[in-house]
Order: sequence, then C-alpha cells, then structure tokens
Amino acid sequence: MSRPDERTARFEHLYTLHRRDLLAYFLRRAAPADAADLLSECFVVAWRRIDVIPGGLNGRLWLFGVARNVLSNHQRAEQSSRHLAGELQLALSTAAETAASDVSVAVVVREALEALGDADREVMMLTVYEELTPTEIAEVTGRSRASVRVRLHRARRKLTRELDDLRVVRTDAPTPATLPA
Amino acid sequence: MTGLRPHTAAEAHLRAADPAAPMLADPRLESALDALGARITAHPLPTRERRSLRRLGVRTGAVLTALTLGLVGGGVAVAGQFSAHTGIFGWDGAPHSEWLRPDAPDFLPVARSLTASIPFAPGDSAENYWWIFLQRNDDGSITQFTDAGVKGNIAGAASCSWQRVWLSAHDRGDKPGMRTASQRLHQAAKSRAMHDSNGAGYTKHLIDAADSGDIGPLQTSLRMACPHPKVPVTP
Repeated sequence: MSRPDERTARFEHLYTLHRRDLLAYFLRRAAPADAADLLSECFVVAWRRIDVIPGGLNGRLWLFGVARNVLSNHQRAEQSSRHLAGELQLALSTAAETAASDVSVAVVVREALEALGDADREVMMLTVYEELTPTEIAEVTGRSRASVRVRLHRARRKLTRELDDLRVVRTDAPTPATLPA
Repeated sequence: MTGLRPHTAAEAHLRAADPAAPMLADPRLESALDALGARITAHPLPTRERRSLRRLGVRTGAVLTALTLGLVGGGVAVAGQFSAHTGIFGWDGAPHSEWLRPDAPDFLPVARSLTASIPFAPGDSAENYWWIFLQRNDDGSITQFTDAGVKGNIAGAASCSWQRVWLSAHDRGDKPGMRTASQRLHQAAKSRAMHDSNGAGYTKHLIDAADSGDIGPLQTSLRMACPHPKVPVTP
C-alpha cells in the first residue's frame, strides 16, 4: 500500500484527468440531477480503492467499469418506481429537452438511439461519446471483442436506418470519416 | 471527447446531439468539480469509515447536483430539488404513503417530524435508530422507505424500548413497572404509526405475553427483531 500523500496525489491525478469524461458519461445516461451523485459515488469508490486502480490507460477503463456498475445500480433502483411515475418522468424529460433550444434533430437522434437494444446502444454510446475502441469496450463491459464488433456494426446499421426513416441523415450531415473499427 | 471523427453520418448526428455538451461547457463546472474532489480526499480511508465516506459521496454530490440542475433549469433555485420527498406514492397496504430518500439532506428533519409523537421509554429516543434508514447496501445503494415505513420502524423501535423496560421490571420483580410498560405497549400497538405500517399484529402477541407475564416472546423479540440503539440504553 502506498503512503497517504502518494495515494492522494494519485487520486487527484486520476480525478483531474477523468472527471469531465465521467461526468459526461453520467449526463448522457441519467438525469442531470442524478449525474452529480453518480459521479461522486464513482470517485468515492475510486478513492477507497486507489491502491488497486491500474496505471496508465487501464485506469481510465477501470473508472468506466466502476461508472457502469454505479449507473447500473442506480437504474435498477429507479426501475422499481418507474412504473408509478413513468408517464410523468417522460413528460418532464421531454419538456426539459424541448426547453433546450436546438431540439429538432437532437430529439429525433436521441429517439433513434433509444430504439436500439440496450447492449447495442451501450456499445454505440461508448464508441461515439466516450470514444472507446472495441477492445476497450470489451474491457469495460466484460464482453468479448468479437461480440462488441458485431454489436457495433449492427448498431451503426440500425441507427442509420432509423435516422434515414426519420429523414435526418441528409447530404448536409457532418462529414464522416473512417475510424479504426 | 478528443475530437475523433465519426464513422458514419448517423454518428455525426449523434455526437452533435450530445446531451452532456452544453452542461460541460459551463465555466462554473470546474470549481464545483474541484470542490467535490477536495471533499472526497479530505476523508481518510480506514475501513471503519467506509460507511460515512459513502454518505459523503451523496453529500458532496449535492454541490454538483445543484449546478447541473441549475444548468438545465436555467438557474432556477434548486435547494428543494434534492429532497427526501420523492413525490412517488403507493405501497401495499399504504397506498397514500410517499417514498422518501434517506440520502437527501432534509431526510432527518422530515423523519423527525413524522415520528415526533411516538413515545419512547425514558433514556431512549428515535435519534438512536436513524441508522436503520441511513445504512448503505453492500452494492453502495441506499434503500428507500415510505413515510409509513419510517413511522413503522420508529414505532417498532419505541415498542422495543418499552419491551426492555418491561423485562427490566420483570427482572427486578417490579410489578407496577411491568404494568406501566405493558400499558405503553398497548398504546404503541394502537398508534397510527404502527397501524399504518401493519405492525400492530406483530406487537399484539408481545402484549399478550407481557399481560400474562410470559417472558419468552419478549426476550426473543429483543434479541431477534429489535433494532440496536446507537447508544446503549439501560432501562
């Protein structure tokens, strides 16, 4: 076990490096009101377990793994009350999205994303938002690399089809480029 | 994001619709994040403190919660948003009972207000039993309670305090003391709090035992079913 000041320095380094990415991760997947709590909980786990967090890039993946578990616990707890307040929550979240000005495309794109299966959506979001490679996604989610690649391929195809149907993917879309898959 | 270019047009749209982007752009975020990090590392890490550190996680999160809500709500006052009151009602046998968040900053004032009229034996009080609601599960989650559940748990703890008094009086051969404690157990069983949480049936057999001088069920209840007071109580 390292000395307390070394542990603090290590935590501060990790925290400074990854706090925005982790906050963004939660903001994309939970209500803003919950994202702060989830970020806090995630880094409290990191602080408690600072001695076992791997170094280098693997530390980032370790944090995403913790974030995924924290989020999963949160979503499980939420599910128990969702059937009671689901309609109200939907109305409120739609209202919140409508309140944010540039909605038209954003809302449709989010709906298309929601239409993907849970696992495909997770792989897609980790690719696009967190910019993880399939190998890194496999590390974070505990899936095989082959499974991640298949899901990513399927999710890309389905998302394009969904957006095509909704007439969102147009010729004036931002220019895509090839990423290593 | 580091700015890698998207693979497809759909991904480009997805990135453009990133819900986190506007919130991450707020300049106030950095100082809120700094404050959170400082509060986490301000706590030492011995194992015994894990539980309080978990609670710290929620409290420190409130700083950011206020900020993120402010960003979404256009700076609307948010103190009331992170409240023990969830606005979600309903539970078997208590359809009008509201679910409460024990990790909210205002939980204890709410819980004290709900349970203020529940009488404990001298030397004991509801303050000894808030840990029931504040403890974390192994996975770090916290259990929510309905207001009927909060009242019922505290009414149960109050009943236990009178069971202790009864047993103590029994050990001393103090018949008037046993009678007084027995009356209090009757009152506890009839209380609204106990009724709302369906606990009256549980206490009835204990009252019957107390009335008939049967020590066994009360000893079992204290040993197996009663919550431990945070500060030991000697009747």
